[in-house]
Amino acid sequence: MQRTLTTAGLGDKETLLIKSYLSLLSGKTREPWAFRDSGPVDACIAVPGLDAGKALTIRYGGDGELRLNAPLRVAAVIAVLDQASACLGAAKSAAAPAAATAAASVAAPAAPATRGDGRGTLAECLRSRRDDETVLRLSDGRARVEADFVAGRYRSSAPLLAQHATAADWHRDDAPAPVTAVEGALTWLMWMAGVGEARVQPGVYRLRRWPDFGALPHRPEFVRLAALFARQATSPGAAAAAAAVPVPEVEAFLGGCLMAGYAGSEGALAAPPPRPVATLDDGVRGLLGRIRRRLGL
Amino acid sequence: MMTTARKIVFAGSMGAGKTTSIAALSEIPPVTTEAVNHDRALFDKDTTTVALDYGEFTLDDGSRIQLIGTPGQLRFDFMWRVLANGALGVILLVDNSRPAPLDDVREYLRHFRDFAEGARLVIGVGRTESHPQPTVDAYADLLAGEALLLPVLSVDVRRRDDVLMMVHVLLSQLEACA
Ligand SMILES: Nc1nc2c(ncn2[C@@H]2O[C@H](COP(=O)(O)OP(=O)(O)OP(=O)(O)O)[C@@H](O)[C@H]2O)c(=O)[nH]1
Ligand SMILES: [Mg+2]
Repeated sequence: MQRTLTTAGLGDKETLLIKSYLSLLSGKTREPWAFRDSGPVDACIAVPGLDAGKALTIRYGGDGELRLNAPLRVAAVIAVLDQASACLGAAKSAAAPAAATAAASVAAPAAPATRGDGRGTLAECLRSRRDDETVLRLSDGRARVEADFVAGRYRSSAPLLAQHATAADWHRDDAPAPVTAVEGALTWLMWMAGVGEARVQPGVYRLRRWPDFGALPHRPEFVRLAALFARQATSPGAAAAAAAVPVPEVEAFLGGCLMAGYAGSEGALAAPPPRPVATLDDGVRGLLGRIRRRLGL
Repeated sequence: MMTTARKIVFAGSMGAGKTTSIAALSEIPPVTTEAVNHDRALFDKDTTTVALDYGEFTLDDGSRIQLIGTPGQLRFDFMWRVLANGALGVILLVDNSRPAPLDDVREYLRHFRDFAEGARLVIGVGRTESHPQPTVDAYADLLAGEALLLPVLSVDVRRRDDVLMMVHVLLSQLEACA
């Protein structure tokens, strides 16, 4: 059966590489694999964390996880995809987990902010911090995370993947500090949590500060969205139309920005009418398009 | 035949990575005028660019994008504005291992004020892995103090993808800013 694959947190070049591998491999894997930019997928290739070296992780189904070492080799990619196929087949026949979902494509709204059992998305748990709490210890059963709001750092017992950020079974876990597998700037954790949740209230938002795209996992569209939200306060719908990207993509971008403090709400006001773009004459627009084509941007 | 020459300017202190960035994009080997570095006390490198770096790439309509690197030494600052005149935008490279990189940025912003206010400027901070201070946030604070909202990215220009990312950010700013 046709399998689908996406990437999360990879650079444009790496994603392009994965795409070209997939077309190269057609007919060579047990089942055909196709790349999807968004929507529900069978598997997702992610970077475990910025600090975790060059290994890529391929996640499928509920908890399935395989590693792919860089540089990618065709034989290794085939082996890993076939292994994922086998596990997905086994899981299906046992009527087990639903397809994995890419961070960008959380179509269904995330769990409500307060569930009876105190569980929710990573973003919800981080937001539930009281003013007097300087450290939060959280777990989703697979990774344990300690967020230190004074030091501005986080550490985690396992590499955090897009799926961790979208999972809704995070809860407080005050057991002793986790064995550190990954650590980094708290901004990174907040960003990942917000991008993964991909949920924002209706309203008008403005960029307060540019995300450091040199350090934060992002998709290329995020850069164009940042430029739009930097220019003027805009609603997610208007930004989606202006940048020609799906609304969930805007919500993922804004979700990350709001969690990490890069954007703020300008209230529930209607978006101001977009400033006319006519002054960017067709000549310049065409020139910018040609530069993009030439550099593959 | 008239060809429209457009340029992107790479500015920044000595050793910030201007030549490396241009080499990453140019389809000709960058033409660089190097001469003996007379500011050894300031920067320990045998040669430094005293004129300009030049590279280019050709677009599908035959026109060219020029890549201009401004001289790093402060005593050539009179050239910065001249070189940037008419440019699409400026990529300002910062070497975070310098004694006072925030002051460097302040100085460059003064010279490239038009580009900064027109959101046609990207700041790329290098060597953050060995010199995490000042943080990217400190640069953003500096900008906020000058009522500017500009992208500040931690980069390593030895990675071509990082150079491409800075261009992607600059183009996105140009597209958004009518
Ligand atoms: N470790 C490290 N090295 C870097 C980084 N960016 C640039 N370099 C290195 O710094 C050196 C100087 O880079 P250049 O591209 O010559 O710098 P430049 O701005 O052209 O310098 P001048 O021409 O002297 O003004 C090169 O060896 C680069 O590889 C960085 O982020 N980290
Ligand atoms: Mg040089």
